[in-house]
Amino acid sequence: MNLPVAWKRLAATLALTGLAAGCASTSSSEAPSGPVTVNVWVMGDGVWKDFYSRLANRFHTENPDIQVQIDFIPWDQGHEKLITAAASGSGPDVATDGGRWTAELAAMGALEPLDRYLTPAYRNDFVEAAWETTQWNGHTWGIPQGFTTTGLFYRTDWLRAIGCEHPPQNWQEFKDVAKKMTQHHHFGFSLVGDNSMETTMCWVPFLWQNGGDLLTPDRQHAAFNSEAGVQALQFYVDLYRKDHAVPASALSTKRNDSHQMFLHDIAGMTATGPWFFSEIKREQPDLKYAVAPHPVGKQAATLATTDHIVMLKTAARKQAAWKWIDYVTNPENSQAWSKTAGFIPYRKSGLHDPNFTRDPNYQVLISATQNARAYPTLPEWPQIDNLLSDAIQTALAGKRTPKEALDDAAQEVDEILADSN
Amino acid sequence: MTQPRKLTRFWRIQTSTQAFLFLTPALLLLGLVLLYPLLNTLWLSLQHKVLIRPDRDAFVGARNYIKAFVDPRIRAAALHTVVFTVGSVGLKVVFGMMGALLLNVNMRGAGWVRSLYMLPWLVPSIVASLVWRWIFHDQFGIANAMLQSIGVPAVNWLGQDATAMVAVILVDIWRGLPLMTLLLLAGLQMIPRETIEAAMIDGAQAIQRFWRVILPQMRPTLIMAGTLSLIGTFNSFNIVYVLTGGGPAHATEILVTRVFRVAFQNFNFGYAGTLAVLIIVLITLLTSVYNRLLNESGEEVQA
Repeated sequence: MNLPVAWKRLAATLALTGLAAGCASTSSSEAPSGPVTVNVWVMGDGVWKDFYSRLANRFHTENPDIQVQIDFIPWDQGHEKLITAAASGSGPDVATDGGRWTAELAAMGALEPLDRYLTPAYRNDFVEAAWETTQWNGHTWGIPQGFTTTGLFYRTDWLRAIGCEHPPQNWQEFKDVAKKMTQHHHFGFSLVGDNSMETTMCWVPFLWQNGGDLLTPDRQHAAFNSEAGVQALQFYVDLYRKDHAVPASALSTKRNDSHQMFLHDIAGMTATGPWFFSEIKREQPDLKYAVAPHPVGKQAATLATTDHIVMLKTAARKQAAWKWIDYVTNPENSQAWSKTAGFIPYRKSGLHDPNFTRDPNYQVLISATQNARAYPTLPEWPQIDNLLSDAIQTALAGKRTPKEALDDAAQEVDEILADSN
Repeated sequence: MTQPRKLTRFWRIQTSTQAFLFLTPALLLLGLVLLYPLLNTLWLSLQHKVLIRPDRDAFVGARNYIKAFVDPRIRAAALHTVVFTVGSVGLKVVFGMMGALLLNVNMRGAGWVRSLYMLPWLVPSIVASLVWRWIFHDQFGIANAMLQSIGVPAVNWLGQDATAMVAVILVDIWRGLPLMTLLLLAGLQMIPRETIEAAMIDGAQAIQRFWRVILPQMRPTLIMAGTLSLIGTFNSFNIVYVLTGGGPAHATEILVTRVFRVAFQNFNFGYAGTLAVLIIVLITLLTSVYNRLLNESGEEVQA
């Protein structure tokens, strides 16, 4: 006889009947139970906090029978907190996660597959590059809740000063421009090379542009140490070690540092995403800059990153939890969120919103969606990500050649992947 | 006559039982926050336990330990830990002693100077490390601005192996020096003035007084302060993590930052438990070596 479980079930049943009654006729106020509480973790602070607090209030006025209780958790603690909470079964009902963690959580058996809540029309409205990141092992484990691509931000005045008509369109031009811009404490490119996932994010577009890939199609082996991968890393390393077109501090440069260098006359180009617009407007409103697509190697490619909203398996009130997820991700709120956070629209119905398209710089990043690719979704990705950023750093530091560094990482990745099968 | 004796025996038992009763809450607390986690870590270290693959949990005996001994990353991290700890604690003891001797002078405003001197220790280490990260910033940092103003070329502090290690050691010293100085100052003030005065009357110079009279009497303080500092520095996670994150390319990765990566980035709790046990062993070894060195040098002085 397991009393607590029985009680929980009873409570859940009562809550659901209450919910159903509430949906069927809002006028019938004699619902048998009080409001249902859905515990939500939202990663992030600042804009996240403002937006989601307001959203929860509006949701509650529309659904008085559901109380959404939000805890805000800083992004850099989110991964650790969510995984450890999920492992001990003490997680929230609904959480935002950084996309990369979804497969990990799903493999732990911590997530509720969402397929049964979805209609084809619902899923078809999502941009493909965003939607595919929610798929693992034949199920949908999350709903996109934030989507970005990156592009090349460049100083238009610096470009004119070195006599260039247009931003670099291919690798050779990129290298030439970077070298020419490098003079008198100015550098061409602010390369992100510290030991974090940001380093991987910034290099991976180069790998894809050169025709390389992260893993083999069957996802059993590393593929980034192919000829194409080695060349792509060599190109990166040469910018730093040979051409010195990158500030010497590259190995301790985080993405935020690269923003600062671009804002304060140190770097003429940086590769980043739409969230940078508001920072420029706030800190250097007169900065003369524009955005171009990433320079094309053998092909055009950019990295798309997608945040997800997921439901945990332990959620007691799944219908209520889904209602919140559905509310957060509906076309209107998705679009409002993209605008607030500086993301790009991830609902097809929002792609032509003049709020986004009338800004040519924003338009570049929206168009980049066509060449956007996502990281492979698999539980081991965060570990692979770490090994890759290590390899990039080791090569940039000159401790190993690009080939050696990538081969070492590939060997470890192969071991991890073999271990998990 | 027998009656009172019986009574005392009764009271004796009574007092020991009472003492035990009074100790129980503390013992329970210690068991809960020290003994249980320690035993749990030991147990964890013998298992394969990766949080994201609960289906693979298994008892593996010493396999994690064997892995740790052949893991080149662990060997490198152990080496960095020793360089970092020995460098930082050594300099903290030397400069702490100098500071304590200076602060021991009775002058006007000595109390103020002592309070100001404690400031770095009062700032939370995360905050301090974030500030130092900016101080050492290659482009915007004040360290390079100052160097350049006197004609020295800028240093890529956190982006190169050697300077990154120097930077983390410097910050750790900056933060740990006040406490070290305070402890040594307390030790200095416990030395009876008569011994020093006697040495002065015998005609001992200041340097002789320090080496022959003051230092030998400081031995107990040095053992205590050094041991505390050794343990604190060995586990100086915040400073390294915020300043360099163990980089560039693992050049400042110490054992505790490695354990953090294994546990909270790879979620390999079994292996992280093994590394934690090895850290305990290593710390115990280091402290006993340090204490033995001090004891031996003490015997030499006495001889």
